[in-house]
Amino acid sequence: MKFIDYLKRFDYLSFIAMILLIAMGGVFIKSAGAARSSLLLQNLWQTHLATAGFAIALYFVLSMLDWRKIFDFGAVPVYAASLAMLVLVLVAGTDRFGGKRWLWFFQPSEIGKFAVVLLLAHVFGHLAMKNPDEHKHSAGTDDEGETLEKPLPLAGFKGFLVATGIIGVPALLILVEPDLGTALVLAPASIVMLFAAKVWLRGVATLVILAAVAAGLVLGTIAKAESLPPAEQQKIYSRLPFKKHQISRLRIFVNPDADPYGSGWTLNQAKIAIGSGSFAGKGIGKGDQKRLGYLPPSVSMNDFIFAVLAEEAGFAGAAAMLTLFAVIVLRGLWTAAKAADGRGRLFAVGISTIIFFHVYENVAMSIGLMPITGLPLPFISAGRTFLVALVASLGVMQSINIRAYQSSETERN
Amino acid sequence: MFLLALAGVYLAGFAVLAVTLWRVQVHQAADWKQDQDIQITRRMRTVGSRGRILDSRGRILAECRASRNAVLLPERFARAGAKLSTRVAAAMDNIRVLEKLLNRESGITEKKLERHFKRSSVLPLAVFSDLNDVELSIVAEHGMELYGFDIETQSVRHNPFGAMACHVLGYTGREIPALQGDEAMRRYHFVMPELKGRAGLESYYDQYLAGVPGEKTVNVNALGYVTGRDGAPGGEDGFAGPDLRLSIDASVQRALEKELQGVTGAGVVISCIDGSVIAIASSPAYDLNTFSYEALLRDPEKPLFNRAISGQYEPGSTFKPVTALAAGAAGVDADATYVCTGIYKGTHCANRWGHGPLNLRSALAHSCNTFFLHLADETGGSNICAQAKMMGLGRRTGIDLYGESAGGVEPWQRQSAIGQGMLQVTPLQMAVVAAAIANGGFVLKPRLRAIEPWEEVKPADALEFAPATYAKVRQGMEDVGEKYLQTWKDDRDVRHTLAVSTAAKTGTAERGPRNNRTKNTWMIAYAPADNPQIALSLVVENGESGAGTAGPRARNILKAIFGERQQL
Repeated sequence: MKFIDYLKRFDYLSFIAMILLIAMGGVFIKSAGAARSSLLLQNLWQTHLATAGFAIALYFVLSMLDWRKIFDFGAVPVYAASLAMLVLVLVAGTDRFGGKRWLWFFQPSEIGKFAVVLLLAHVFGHLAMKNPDEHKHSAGTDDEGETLEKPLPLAGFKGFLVATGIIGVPALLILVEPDLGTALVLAPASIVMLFAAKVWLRGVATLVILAAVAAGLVLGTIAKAESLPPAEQQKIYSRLPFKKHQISRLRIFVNPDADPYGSGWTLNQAKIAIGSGSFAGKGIGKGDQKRLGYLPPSVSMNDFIFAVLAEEAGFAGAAAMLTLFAVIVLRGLWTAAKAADGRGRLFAVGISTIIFFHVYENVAMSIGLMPITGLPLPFISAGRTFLVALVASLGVMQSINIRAYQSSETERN
Repeated sequence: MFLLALAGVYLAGFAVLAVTLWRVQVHQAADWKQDQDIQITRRMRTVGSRGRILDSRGRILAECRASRNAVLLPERFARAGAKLSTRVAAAMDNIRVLEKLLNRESGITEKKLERHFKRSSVLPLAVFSDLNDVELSIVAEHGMELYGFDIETQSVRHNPFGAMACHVLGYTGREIPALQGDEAMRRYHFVMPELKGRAGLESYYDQYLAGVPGEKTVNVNALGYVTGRDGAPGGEDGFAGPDLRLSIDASVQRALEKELQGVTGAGVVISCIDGSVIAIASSPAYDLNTFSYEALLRDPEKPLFNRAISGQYEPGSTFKPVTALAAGAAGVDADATYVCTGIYKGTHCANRWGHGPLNLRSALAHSCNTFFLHLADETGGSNICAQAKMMGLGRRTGIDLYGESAGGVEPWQRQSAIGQGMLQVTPLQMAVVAAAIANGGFVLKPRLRAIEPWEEVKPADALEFAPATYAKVRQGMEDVGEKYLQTWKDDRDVRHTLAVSTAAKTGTAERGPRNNRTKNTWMIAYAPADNPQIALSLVVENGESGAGTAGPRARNILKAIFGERQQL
């Protein structure tokens, strides 16, 4: 396409929001890093911005390519590669913070998230068409190689099984690392995508309800257990199928005073940080919680960087951040609405959901609305793999957005 | 459609976050800020500097001086490791290194260090006190390898004149004050120890001298260590306490103390006009800057005892003017004569053969015992006792010091009339008596703190002296002064004369068991005789005679005050 069209159709709003969020990330990683003792960590913000630079370059490249070609040539290989890395990391990964999650300098689980979304979109894209007839003209082929007159393949239970396979294998590998949080985030992303593609609608809906009930039961049990004396508590907790630290996180979600010097400490200090920020914050770099070490330094740069942001930039800063994220998420859904075919639609929905869920969980856990998991704040938490994968995915979405009305036009590249 | 619903859900999600954040960050902001404040703030009550004590001319008798201490800051050892024992060990090592460098014991044990880290890690620990310049430079030079130390200045009480007026000035100790009322409510985490007067004027005027305390707030990090001491967020500085100005004149004090050196005794010089104490000393004395309390307690000479106000002595012949004045008040004829034969009712006179015929004036001049014993019989013991009490004996003078003795006049005995028996006086009381004689009957209340020009001083009791008797008493005392104090010859036989005329009375009081009698030798005086300004009383224990032992000393003091008459 002509470059001028590229410029005209480019979604500047979402791009600028992304740049601003990355800049915020640089600012607060620097601020949180100032309280650390190693020079490496103090300068981590430079790595963050450098990585961002590389990611943005990738973004532009991907946005200029035809996303359908990316899907055709990339979906399966990317997925396969990430599966391979997930296996590799279990075998040869570096041990950090009690888990084998790193392979050299990046985290396969972060790539895995996006690879799953990509493949799901690719496989079930034909089910998400605006106009079911369009799929006859789509550039993609469906997996089964069936003839196109039959009822839409993979729409029923069989599709659900396929989906489970696509999601489940990497999810399991991630769970084993262990990284429950990342594994969990695959759930809402995939469920929303399955809903969008209407795969076994009734079944999935039922499963979702059942899962919600189960979660409710677990939380209820824990709530009940918290009011019992310690001996009784132990009996109940030892029977739950969770690891110790996971149980303690659920406990403090239900009862914030439960583990005052363990997970409860972090949560309480995060709340103090956020609360004491008040409207305007204390000023960049002047946050007391991080400066005095009450917010544990190990989390102040990634999982709980929002606490640093909230203390230093106040409600104003937090609200601005939420607005920027809202822009990206909603623009993502807008891209989904005008996507040229179902794959693009599904992909946009999936990525938007991932972003939303990360933001929601990260902020909510800092204020006690959700249990603590290890989900980072997109663009802002220090984490290079996630940043690159995220920005790259947004680049693909930008491509989807730019080529939105091309289905009825002659293909030109 | 689905997308629209999804958009709605996500939007709602952001809204939920925004609303909750609003609640936490705006509504509850104050609560969270308070939680944080409780967590990170430590408040300390600091001390204001103590006021100085000055003499009448503004010379500094007691002040606070900066003592430079090498202190250890616990937060600097956080880098040694995470465990407490590692930090304590690292700190201990550094202390040992410094001990070697300074060649000085620190007195800090491992246990003490650990206790400080555990309980008071916010406070610096004093390791070496009062560094001199050499030690100071050593600590400063080795700052790099000796991390964890800092120099802190502490207020230490200092007496520039050393032992001068040590008994009246007194000394201070360090104490953590008990907080009262408002202060107790402020809930300090740490209260710094203050200087508190333990003796003398430091004690009597302790509240006056004490400075106004200040407050210091520091932030502590998650491990309880102070961050950035210099950039501490809050606090007010304390105020220095006001100076205490005394009526004591350091040059007269020095002269008095010089005369008491080497002997045990006391002396007081007061103003005849308003009772201000110009000099007051007790011997033996001690250096306020370097004394050891335990050593002084054990000293048999009792140097801590302020003989000037607490020492109780028999006044001996210095009491005779009182007897005379009592006689006058009782109506005895001032011109009456009596023949001294050397003995009266069993008591000998100083002159064994008798003085012969004497009147009141000459009897005072010769200090004739028999004359006065006879006079006492004529006057009546109760009258003399009453006169003594009226002139301030037997009760405290009310000087601004603790520990004054009241002495005693009862039970009245025959010998009391000549200053022996159960009669007990303090040198201060005798100075007041001398001043009362000098100023015509005003029994003054002695005072160490200078009387400010605007102060209203209550007028002293005014006694009525029988005019004729009073005149005779004064003349008699002037004769004594003329005889013993006025002129003298130095080693080169050169004659000297005091610049002013004086009036005086000697006294020699015998005491002790028969086989071991000692004499307390006295001199009371006032000068100038015609227009009295000052009164003096001096007692030297274990002396020869009033005239011989106390006399020259009193003269030297008067010389220091008034100077000599120029020889032509």
